[in-house]
This record gives sequence, structure tokens and C-alpha cells, in this order.
Amino acid sequence: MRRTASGVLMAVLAGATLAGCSSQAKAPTAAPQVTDRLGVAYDTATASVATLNGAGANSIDPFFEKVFYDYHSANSKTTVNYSPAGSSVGAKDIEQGTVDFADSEIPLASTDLAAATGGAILQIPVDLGGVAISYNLPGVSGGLKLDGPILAAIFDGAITKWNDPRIAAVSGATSLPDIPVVPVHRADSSGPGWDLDSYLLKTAPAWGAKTGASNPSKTWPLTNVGLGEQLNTGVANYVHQTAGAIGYVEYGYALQAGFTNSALKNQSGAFVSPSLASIAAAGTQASGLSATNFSIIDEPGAGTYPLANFSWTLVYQKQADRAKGLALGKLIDYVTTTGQRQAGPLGYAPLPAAVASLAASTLQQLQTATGAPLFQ
Amino acid sequence: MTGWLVRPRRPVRAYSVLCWTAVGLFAAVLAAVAVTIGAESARAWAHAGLGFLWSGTWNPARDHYGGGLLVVGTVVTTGCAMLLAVPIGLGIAVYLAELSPRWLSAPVSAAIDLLAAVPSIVVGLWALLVVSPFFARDVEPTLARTPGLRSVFAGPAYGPGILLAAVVLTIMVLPTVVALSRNALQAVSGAEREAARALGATPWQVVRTAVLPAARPGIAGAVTLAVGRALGESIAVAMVIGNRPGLPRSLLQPGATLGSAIVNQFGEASPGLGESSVVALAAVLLALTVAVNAAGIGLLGRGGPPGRPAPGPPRRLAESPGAVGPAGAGPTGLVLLADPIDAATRSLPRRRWASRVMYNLCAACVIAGAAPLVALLYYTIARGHGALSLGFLTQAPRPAGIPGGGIATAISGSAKIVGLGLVMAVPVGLLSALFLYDRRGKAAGTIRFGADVLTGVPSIVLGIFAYGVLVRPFHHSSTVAAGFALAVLMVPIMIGGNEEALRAVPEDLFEAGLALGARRARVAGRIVVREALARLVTANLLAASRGVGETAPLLFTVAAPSAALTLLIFDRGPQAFASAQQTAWACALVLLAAVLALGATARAVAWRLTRHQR
Repeated sequence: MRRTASGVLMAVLAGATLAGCSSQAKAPTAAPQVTDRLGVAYDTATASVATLNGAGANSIDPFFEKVFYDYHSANSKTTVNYSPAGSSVGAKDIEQGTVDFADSEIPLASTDLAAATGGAILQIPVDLGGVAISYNLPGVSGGLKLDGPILAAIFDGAITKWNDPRIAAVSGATSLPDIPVVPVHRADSSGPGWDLDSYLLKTAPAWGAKTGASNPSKTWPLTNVGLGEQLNTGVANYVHQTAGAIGYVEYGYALQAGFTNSALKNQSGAFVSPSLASIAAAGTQASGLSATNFSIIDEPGAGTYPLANFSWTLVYQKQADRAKGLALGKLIDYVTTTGQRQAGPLGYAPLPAAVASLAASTLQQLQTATGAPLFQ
Repeated sequence: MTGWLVRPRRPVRAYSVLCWTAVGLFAAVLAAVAVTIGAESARAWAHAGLGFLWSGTWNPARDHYGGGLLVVGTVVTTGCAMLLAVPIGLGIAVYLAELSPRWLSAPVSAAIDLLAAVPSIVVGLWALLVVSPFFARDVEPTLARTPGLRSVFAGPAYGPGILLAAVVLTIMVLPTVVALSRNALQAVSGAEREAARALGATPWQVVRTAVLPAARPGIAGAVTLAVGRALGESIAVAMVIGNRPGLPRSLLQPGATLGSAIVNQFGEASPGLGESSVVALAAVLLALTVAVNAAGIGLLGRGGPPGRPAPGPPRRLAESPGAVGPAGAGPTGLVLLADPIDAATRSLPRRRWASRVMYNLCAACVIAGAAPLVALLYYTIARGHGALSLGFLTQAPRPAGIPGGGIATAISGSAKIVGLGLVMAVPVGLLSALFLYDRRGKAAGTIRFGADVLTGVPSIVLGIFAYGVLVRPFHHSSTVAAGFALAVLMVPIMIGGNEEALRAVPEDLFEAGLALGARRARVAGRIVVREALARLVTANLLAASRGVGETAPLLFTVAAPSAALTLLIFDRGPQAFASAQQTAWACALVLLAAVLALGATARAVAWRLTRHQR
């Protein structure tokens, strides 16, 4: 089964940068051995036992949990622990070297990378997700449309009731109930917070003046309005149990919880709801994607959802423990290839081909302690 | 009394060395906690100075760190909790100690002792999933509409907020208030009660004029220790307070406390100034709780801790006629006589009526205190039991959407962490207690005080400490680090419990052993420890039950939520879909069962022992 998986991924990626490697994909028929585009025969029978500890983004957790579970089922010698405590936790943990890998919804800036204790860090795009604006209005099963200025007015406290005419004007919805709007933000710093802040800065002229900042921030800028909840789970739970609540959660969580989500106005003026297709459409807008050019917020296109982002896995380029480094590289390679098949059902769009090949070429840069390539 | 007998007369032996080592280790840990928290927060203090304490801005994005609003939030939530917990707790204590029939008081007291061990994460889960929606829908709007309360309960009914956090804290500290004040009430000598009764006092008048005043220092101590516990509670509060620092204008408003901010911020604080500032919050919290607990210990010591005779001036019976409200631990029994209102102007039916009213009020307190605890148990069982099955207990967790799977890794992880903690803590706890048993003087007093103070240190602070000394330097989170954090938490509880257990052994036995020429180690091991064994087991089991239920020390030391029961509850509880929440409830049920089983075993051991001795 692994061989089939491997074959599929090679078919997909053969045309990309790794054509040379894929020629090695001639697995012996009997042994449970897998050779893939990373070019190293990986014998699942003789591979050393590895426990890989990771921490970081909460948004990617449902996807990671599933993919790591599948990977461990196929490669029982690799055990993965992932602590979904938040992107910033992951960033700090990898900088301090207390984890083997981290994940952040927003790639680290060069200043943060400089603080890393173990040298250069590689940032690998591993999934494409969206941020839903989810709400709980009894009797309203959809149809809400919001644009930047109205969303900003909700999150800065200017709009306090759902039947506010400003919401009705942009939404076209006429019969919203007369109950208080309870905006919920993340109490911890977060990728979804960065995405929404970025969207509001781009689309709502008054937002920057309110927050006093011109660059998006992972820490929610207006904490004195509404309620702060920890992680996607905290926000989702609050929206779930409170009539009148509106909050931003990773689309995967909103899907899991069965939330109704608002459509958002994108750069082209179209109102688009979050869905696999609209998030995938945002992903295709990425051109020249890199860890320093990563934003796909408020892109144009009739079907493009404006709140989407790639999630980035962070590993040290130099892996002191070769066996562990190999296991780690293999794991991330699996996540960015075969594992992508799990994305759709969980509310993430599969990585576009160009991004998958960026992931592969970045993984190729992994090195041993002496600087020799880990995969050749 | 034993001074001349137990002073070492022989050359130092291995036993002595062991005891000193244990005590040395304990003292070193105590010092290390203070030094680590101090050193790691130094950068924040250097950056912000004392202004850290009153600056209200907390903005990591701009490197502005001030803990002022968090201190205010901590004080306000604790204060509100005390407004609820002290009257209710005192009412319950009075009812149990003075008014209730004996057949009722013993089981209720035992239940309250057991409930003191309910893990804060379970209270938090229940408050988040059950109480918060109820408050948002029913309680808070009603309060906001009630004339006279509107100014205090203004604004939107969010559910999470200062009020809900205060209610959670009330539930958590109530057993402390009840147990310690009940002890203080029971320690009041029977003669005073009888004197009052002989003078024709009604049951309530006995309580008011004879018992309460005499027990006042003990009650004050109980309240102070409860304040310490409320100040330091972090996990449950973080789950329900709404995490919005600000000056509280309404009790319905979301807030933030030092503890909740540490839970939310420590993990993600950037190395350097950011992290140092969060540790500075921990330092403030540490200083606050140590001060409050030291005061509480002082008060309890002055009033006479349970079981020990109260030192202080001998009690005189009569006092000048005007002294209705007795000052301090003064004489009380005959104040009734000196109170002309009570004695003369109030008719007997009126006094009986007053007594009835107070009796019913105290009984109402029992119901008010018991109701949330019963509800908590009910919901945990009702929502958790459906998921329980053999497979659930023996299989590893599976991702959402894949049927089957369980909590096996969390159970084994928790067992490993607690087991490791016990391996580290039990020897140190036992040998330190033997050290204290054997010696009087400054060293012993200091160690005893240190243990008492460390017992009250918030567990989140110990989590940061373990992160600082074991996780960061060794570059990975580990069972060892988590076990160490729990050991530091359990050792002082063990020292206190063990010492009490040893003291229960008649000193003559020890002295007789020595007089027969046996070595101290032999006497201690063969006679004293053996004689006190059941009580020692009890003390250690109680400490273990406390360790099993802890969340905060594991938060920064364990690799993944699936590696400990409490962390799994913290992770799954807030998920917005049913299967994850059910997993959390089932974990809570397993955890509760484990904690209560440990506590019940401990008490059964103690009970059998006392029956045997009787």
C-alpha cells in the first residue's frame, strides 16, 4: 500500500524539480521498503525507532493528527507527538530546541530565525487552510455576508446588535435578530488572528487607526472588545454554545463543529464563503511563494476566499542525530505528498503542485551535523 | 520534651546522613524555586522596574509588559470568591461542628475532605461546558435586570467572566474553608460550651458567644489559606474568565488574573524579555501567595492547629461587662452573662426563634455548598460514562472521525509521571519528616515553615520552575521534568502529613528504644515508622491524589496532550463537537475515580488503624 502511495506521489511530482530522484523509485518487490523522491531507501523493517516531538499551530492539528496517525500505522517505528499549543509556542520551542519540529501558520521572520539556538531553520509549506468567520444565530442558517469595514466595526465594538442596519445593508439579510453581538478573539497569539488582522488592515480604512498598527500581528490587537478564548478550540466552543457569538476559527474546526460561516468580500468585490474550492482558489493565487512572500490574504478572483494561508513546518537544517533527521524528513515528505489526500475531508485544500515542489526542494536541504546532505 | 534524649550522643551514622541529605535536597529545591523564578524574571524587572506592578499595558507585539491589571484581576476575583466562600464555608463548618446530628456530620465531613481533592481541571471543564452557558442564558441576564444589582452586574452576559471565575474559585476553596474552620471550632474546649449552655444559651447562642470567638484565629487562618489557594489557581480560571485584562467595571465583564495570563502566555512568550515578563508575573504571584500563606500559617499556629493544644495565655473566665465582641482569642464563655441584651431583654421564645433561623441558615449553607459539588459529580458521570469501555481504556487515542480509540496513552502517561514523582518525593518526604520528628530548634522550624509555604505555592509556578531547570536546558519536554514538577508539589504535603503521622506515635516508644541501647536508625525504622506506617501511607496517598489531578505543572513539561489525563481534558474539553467533549468527560471521570479512590483508600487505612488502636 505504501508503494502504491509512493507511486502516486511520484506520478504527481515527476515533472517537478525531482525528476532525477524519482528514477530511483524501484522498490524491491518483497521487503517492506519504500524508496521515494527523497532518494533514500527507507527500510521500514530496519529503520531505527524514532520519537519525533513537535509543537505549534493549533489550526493544523486535525490534519496533523490524522496524517501522523496514518504514518505511524504504516511505519510503527516512528512515533509522533504533536502539541497543538499555538504557532507562537511552536516558534519558541523550535528556537529553544525543545522540539524536533514546529509548525507555524505564519512563517518566522528573519529576526525570529536569528534567535534560534540550533542554526538555520528550514520552513516548509505543509498545508493550505482557511479561516472561517463563524457565527451562532438561532434561526439563521446562513446567508450572512460581510465586508472589511463591517467586520472591523463588529470586532472594534462599534456594532453591538445583530439587527444593526449596517449589517443588513451589506448582507442583504433583513431579519437578523435583536440580540447582542459577542465578538470572540483568540486570547493567545495565532495565525488566524494574523490573517484577519491583515484582511481588516487591507480592507477597512478605520481598522489601522483603531489598533494603532499598520502591520498585521499574531497577537489580537483589540483585546478590550468582546471575549478572548484560548486556541481555535476555545473560540469554537464559545461560538458553539453562545447565541450571538461571532469568531474566527480555522475552517477545519468550523467544518468539524458544523458552524455557519459568513461570506467575505474579496479583492474582486465578490462575496465568497469558505469551502475547499474557495480556499484552493486562494492557494492558486500564490506566485513565487516563499517564507518571506507568503501572504494570500484578500486575493482577487470570483471564487477566491480572502482568508487563507499556508501552514509552515519548521525544522533545523542541520540534524545532529542522523537517524532522527531521516525519520523527520521522511515524515514531512509524507505529509506534503501522500498525506495531502487527507486534507480535503478535514477542511484543508491539498497543496498546489508548485507549493508541493517547494516543500520537496526545501526538504532536500536537510543536512547532517557535518553539513553533508541528509538525502541525496 | 524529648530534647535531652534525642540530641545526638553518638557519632553521626548513616541514618543521620540520610536525613540530612533529604532535608538538604528539600532545602535546595526550595531555594532553587526562588532563585529560578527570581533569576528568570530579572530581565523584566530591569526593563520595567517596579512599574511592572502597576503598568496596565500588556502588549508583547510592542515589548510593553505590565502586570498591573492582572494583579487587580487576581485580587478582584479572589475577593469575590471569598465573599461567597467565607459565609457559606463558615455556615457549613458551624453546622457540622456544632449543630448537626452526629450521624450526619461524620459522613458529610468525610465527603468534603474527599471533594477537596477534586482536580481543578474537572471543575474547569464542568464550569466551561455546563455552568457558562447556564450563566449566559439565565443567571447573568437575571442579575443584570435585578434592581439594585444593576450597577455591579452591568453589560452583556458573556458567560465567561469575573463572576463565573469567582464561582469556580468558591467551589475550589470551599472544602479548605470548611475543613480548617471545622477543626478550629472543634478544638474549642467543651467547658466553654457547657458553661454557656448552663446559663441557658440556645444552640446558636452557644456558637455565637462561646465557640466562634474562641475559634477566631483558627478561622482566620483557614480563610487566609483559602485566599492563598484562590490566588494561585490558574487552569480552571483560565478556562472561564474570558481572558480580557481590564479594570473591572462589572462582575459580568471578562477579566484576567496572574494565573490565567501565565497559562495563556508562558508557552508562546518569546525567549528573552517576553518570557522573562511572564516569569515576573509568576514572581508576583509567588510573592503574593507566600505572604498570604505565611500569614495563614501564623494565624493557625497562634490559634492552635487541629489536634495540638493551643499555646498562648491561659484563658480567664470573666471579662468586663461591656466586652460583647471578645477581642482575639480571649475568654468567651461567660460573655453571655455580661450581655444584658441577651440575658435580660430578649425573651426565651425570641432567642429560640433566632436560634432556629440561624440553624436553618447554616443548613442552607450546607445545601448551597453541596449543590455545585453534587452537580459536578452528576455531570461528570452522566456525560462521561457513555464513552467508557475496555477498549476506551486500553487503546491509544485516534484522530477525530476514526471510530474506536481511547485514552490509554493518557492513563499510562499520567501513571508514569505520578509514579516518577512519587519515586522522587516519597524518600525525601519520609526522611525529612523523620528529621523533623527527631529534632527541635531553628533548622527544624525553618524546614517546617518552608514545607508549609511550599505547600501553598501555585502549581503553575512549579511548572515554570521545572521548565526552567529541566526542559529548556535538556532541550526536550519529558516525563522526568513533569514527574519532577509533581514531586516538588507533593514533597511538602508529604512532609507535613508524615510528620503528623510520626507525632501520633507515643514518644515513649522512641525513648524506650533508645534507652535499650538501639541505634537511632533502628529505633526510627523498626519502631516509629512501623508504628506509624498506616498513617504514613495515608499521608503519602493523599499527596499522590493531589499530584494525579494536577494540570498546570504538566502544561510546559509534557510533549503532547495525549500523554496525560489532565492535559487531554484541557485539550478535548473545549472542542466544539460531541465526541471530543465526551472523551474529555470520560477522562474527567477516570481521573476523578482515581483521585477519589486514592483519597478513600488513604482514609480507609487511617480509619482501620484508629479503630484498631481504639
